[in-house]
Amino acid sequence: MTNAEKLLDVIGDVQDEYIKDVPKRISAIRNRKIIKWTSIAAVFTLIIGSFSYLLGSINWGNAGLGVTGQCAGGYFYYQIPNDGIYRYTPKGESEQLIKTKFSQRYDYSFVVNDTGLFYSKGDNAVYKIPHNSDEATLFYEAPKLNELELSTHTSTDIMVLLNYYSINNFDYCFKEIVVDGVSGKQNEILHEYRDTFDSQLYNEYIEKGYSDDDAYNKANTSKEFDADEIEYKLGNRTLVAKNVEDGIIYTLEENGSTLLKEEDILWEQPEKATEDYIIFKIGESYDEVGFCFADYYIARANGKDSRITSSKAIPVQGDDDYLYYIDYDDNIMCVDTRSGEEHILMYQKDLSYKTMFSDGKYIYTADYDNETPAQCYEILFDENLKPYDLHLIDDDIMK
Amino acid sequence: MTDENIIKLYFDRNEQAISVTKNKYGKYLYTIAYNILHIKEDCEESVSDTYLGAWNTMPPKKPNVLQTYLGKLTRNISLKRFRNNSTQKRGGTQTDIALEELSEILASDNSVEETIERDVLLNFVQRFVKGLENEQRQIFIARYWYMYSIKDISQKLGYSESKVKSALKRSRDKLKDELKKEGLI
Repeated sequence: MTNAEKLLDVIGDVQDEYIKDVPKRISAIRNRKIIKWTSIAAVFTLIIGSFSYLLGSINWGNAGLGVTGQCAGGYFYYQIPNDGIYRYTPKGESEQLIKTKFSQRYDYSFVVNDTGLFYSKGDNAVYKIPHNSDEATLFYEAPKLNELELSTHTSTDIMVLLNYYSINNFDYCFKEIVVDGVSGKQNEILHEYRDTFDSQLYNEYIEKGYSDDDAYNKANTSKEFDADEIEYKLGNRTLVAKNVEDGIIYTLEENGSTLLKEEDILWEQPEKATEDYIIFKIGESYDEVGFCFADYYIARANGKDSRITSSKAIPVQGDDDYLYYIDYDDNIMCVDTRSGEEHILMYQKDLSYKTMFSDGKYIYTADYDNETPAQCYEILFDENLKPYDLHLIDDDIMK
Repeated sequence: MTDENIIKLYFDRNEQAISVTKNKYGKYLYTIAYNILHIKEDCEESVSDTYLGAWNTMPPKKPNVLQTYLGKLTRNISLKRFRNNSTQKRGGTQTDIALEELSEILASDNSVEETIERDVLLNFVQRFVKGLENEQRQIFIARYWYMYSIKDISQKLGYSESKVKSALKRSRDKLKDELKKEGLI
């Protein structure tokens, strides 16, 4: 057997869940195409006006979410592609807060935290809707730019990612800044990368006989800034994401000591942050392929930190003692963080292809590929306040 | 019928186990065989051998995931048949191409330690695959486990061909680097 044959042979024995993933993905793509083409066929039977109006008015994902949702303030916020952003009240109904205009090229970028919902159309403006209101106000305005995205930072602040590029696309600036979630004031800059192109200098080098690439490199100057330390306040704790290599490799420290294993690499942007916990992604390595994800690290205000491995969905925190995640066998798992013991709360076919959100009282499951409706479950607790089951209270939160 | 009940048929030595397996997984297994062998008769023989292999190994084996257990049987049988066939003829099959791609990682027959145990290499490959991002892992498995062509992967998994090619190239480069770091090459 040649070496390549040996390798091919050994690849045959990789983990079952990875082998199963491929036919599942194939099936999901096939079904999505069926839904899409069925919708188009239905539309073409109508007497129509503008073709572009029709494309804008078709909701490709009317069964599910397609874009990840978020829990905060007792609500569940989610976006339907080409439709808008909704707020769902458990045991109540969904309310459309923002409607996507048919002329918009992109859906909204949004993030929620303890202070409310923040959203942007990707231009230079960020709007805010407090939890118990449906009034949107202009919250933050960046200088003229091309693209803007929002992300989680802490339970109150938000991260704003700004992309600027000139008309000729040679000047480029990328910034990640923290904006105070109450005042709208810009705080620290976490990362900045700037390319400035001198077209006159470029032309001069071309005239001297330099190649296009060489002339470009001579005429282009790059500046880069990466914050050495990023602080996260969590209750009485102060955690620090510390840059140990070129703004790429970070580690997580508290009082000067690392909280992670020696080989761990921190993805300094949190997955989720509340006043009680922050969930970070931990990687095994970071090379030309990118960040190689390994585990989730959950830091808690009460000091009872934990790690979750092998979870397809971001683990969600219940109260101080329990957290939840979806495993590869389609189970929603409950973990007792005091003992490390796990038990199954619910099994549902193909659950591992869904994403899950929770605020500790309710669990929401949503589909990546819009095949099934998003559902809301109430977490049931026994006399010892241990979660033992989930009770479906809404099988389609969009209804 | 659930997988658990199908396995029970094997354990009860009920010959219906084969026909039930064929109904549920026949097409899946044929696809695996076809991606490797491309010849209808060879594929049918591989799948038949799979059913025989399942009958002979269950019991005592009780797979956690029947689909992948059968899939692995078919893949192994088909690869063996492919090696036997390739001594007689050469072709541009996906298996040939996949082997050529993996050969780039392992430059010559002398580069892998002769005494390396399969378990060691398997442990390494499992860790490597686990460390890949979801999409990259799906593409890697679709190529080197299922032997789908680039075009098939693109169409079936919903990615552009350039993304598939790029993901595979990066995976192979990463695999090579990590094999070196582990001292396996």
